[in-house]
Amino acid sequence: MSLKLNKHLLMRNNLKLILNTMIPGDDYMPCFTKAVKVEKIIKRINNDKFLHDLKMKEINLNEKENWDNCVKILGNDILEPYFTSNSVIKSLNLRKKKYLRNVKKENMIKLLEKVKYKKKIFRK
Amino acid sequence: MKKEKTDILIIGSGASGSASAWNLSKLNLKITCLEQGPLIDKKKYSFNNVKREINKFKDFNIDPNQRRFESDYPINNVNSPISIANYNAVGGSTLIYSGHYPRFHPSDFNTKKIDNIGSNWLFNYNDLEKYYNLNDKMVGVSGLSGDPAYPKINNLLPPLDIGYSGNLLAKAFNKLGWHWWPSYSAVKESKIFKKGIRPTAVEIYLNKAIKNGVVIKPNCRVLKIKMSSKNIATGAIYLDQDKKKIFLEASIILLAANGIGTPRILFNSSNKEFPNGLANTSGQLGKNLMLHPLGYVEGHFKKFLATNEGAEGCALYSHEFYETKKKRGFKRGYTIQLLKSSGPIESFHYLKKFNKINFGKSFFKDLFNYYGCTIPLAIICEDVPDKNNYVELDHKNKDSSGMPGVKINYKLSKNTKKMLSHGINQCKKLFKKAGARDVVAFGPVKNTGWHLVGTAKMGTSKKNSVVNKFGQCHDIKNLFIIDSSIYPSSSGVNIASTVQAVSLMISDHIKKNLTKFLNK
Repeated sequence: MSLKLNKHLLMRNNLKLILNTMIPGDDYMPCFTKAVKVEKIIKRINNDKFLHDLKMKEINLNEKENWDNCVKILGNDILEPYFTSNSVIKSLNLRKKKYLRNVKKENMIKLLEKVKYKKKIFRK
Repeated sequence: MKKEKTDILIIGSGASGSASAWNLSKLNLKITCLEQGPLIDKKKYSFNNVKREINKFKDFNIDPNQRRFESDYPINNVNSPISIANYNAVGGSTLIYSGHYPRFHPSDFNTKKIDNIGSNWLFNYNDLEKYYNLNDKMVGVSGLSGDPAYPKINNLLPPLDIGYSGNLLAKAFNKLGWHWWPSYSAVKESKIFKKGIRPTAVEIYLNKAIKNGVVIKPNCRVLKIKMSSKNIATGAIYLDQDKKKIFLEASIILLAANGIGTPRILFNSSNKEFPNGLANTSGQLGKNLMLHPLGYVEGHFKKFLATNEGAEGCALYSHEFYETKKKRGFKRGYTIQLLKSSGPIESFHYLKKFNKINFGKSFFKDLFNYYGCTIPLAIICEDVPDKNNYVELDHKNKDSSGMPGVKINYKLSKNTKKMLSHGINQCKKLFKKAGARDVVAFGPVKNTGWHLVGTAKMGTSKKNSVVNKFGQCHDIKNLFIIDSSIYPSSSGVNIASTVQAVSLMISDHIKKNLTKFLNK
């Protein structure tokens, strides 16, 4: 494997790790890279130095400075592709269905009975 | 300078300009509508849900000072707690509006007579009712007849679902014995207007006007209205899309550039006869600016209620506190509107502002504590006219064509402050009844100056007003103002319905008296 390819893979894996640490997923929601391809983010990032650093070594995200830097650079670029991805839209819908399963709605017209006969509140 | 000719010139293609363009298009006349903004592909502005919130930060940002498109003009808000929101494109601000279509109350036309505050209109609700009905039909307004807050409104499309949050709040309103009603929304029953997407002035009126022969010219900015020595408007000088100056001669001119844009054009058209702005013998031009100061109250609930779904503008509203009650300590009143809460991206940005969310392990826990379980309420306060609230030209900040921008000078009155505070307290009470775990409230909200009213008010004479009851300038008989600038009072509801109804009424008057105006 060429050195160039090696570096690209390292960068890709590093970025994947960062993105999945930033948006790790939960019972309903997928982690970032399950919803969005890393390449899409590489194209969006307008910071060559950051991408170059990712090619050199693994980033320790436990160090506050590294973490803050990643959030600063990626924070604005990852929300839109994540929340507009099909799998996230699907997950949000599944989540909604689950949470609303036991929430009951009363008929609006029935609820309006109390208002309907209220004295007219407009003046001429 | 190149010269062109038309019979009727309409300046502005938003809510008011479009309604008149359609209404007049049935005449066998040449009608030209100049619009400073571009024609935008419908697919771009017909957005919903997540796309809606992304667009709000990008191409459809409501703040012209942030957008800074070539078609926008600078608006200096330094002297105002509320900044102006608008959109310059074919269809105007209806491309970004909420599509909430309530009418004014009958009392809104008589605030001086009834409550000794503000000014009376020169016509009343009954005079306008026919045009409200016509406009509702054109727009496709959904709602429910029988609302005790209004005289009977018929022929509405079926009301929209008030959602889980509406259901919860309706019960709380009932417990308190307060008025509430499902909202009036622009829906237009058609396959292309899917749930949540509202029709704009383009679909409602402009496309029909174009079919009838009206010529809409996008990217054409009017610089000045010209007049003859006999106090007759002769036409307008505008910059076409290639930035070439053209004089468009017209027999009748209709100004429909909103409460900020209209005085801007008239001020910029000053001449020897009218050194303080065209049609401004009264000195009232630009004065009495009214906005709708908005209070925001947000109730947080433990359970998920899908509060981010539902009607684009407002699911239900209350007019319990709309009319004056002496014991409240202020005159006139406000609407409480149940809004749709923000989607995931906007929720994130909102929480981030208050340091309540971080990327990492707690990302979804923090997000889902807010997203979908927060109910937002807006308090839309009626503003009262005050000559110290005014707009003027801002010669320091110019638009892309070198025309001066606008400076807003605006303060909240004592009456409004009391009203706002009352509204916030009542909404807190409502949320408590509804079982909210906590409530956040503030106001006035900065970026909410989207209802621009009063800057060229109607009245009986040129001594105290700019136009008569038909929007006709007292000083220049073939110049009409058909937008919300002419309103003597602001009401406490969204103005789109009234803007279009008034525009239809004025254009009907022009139609009936056409020969009189064309012969001038």
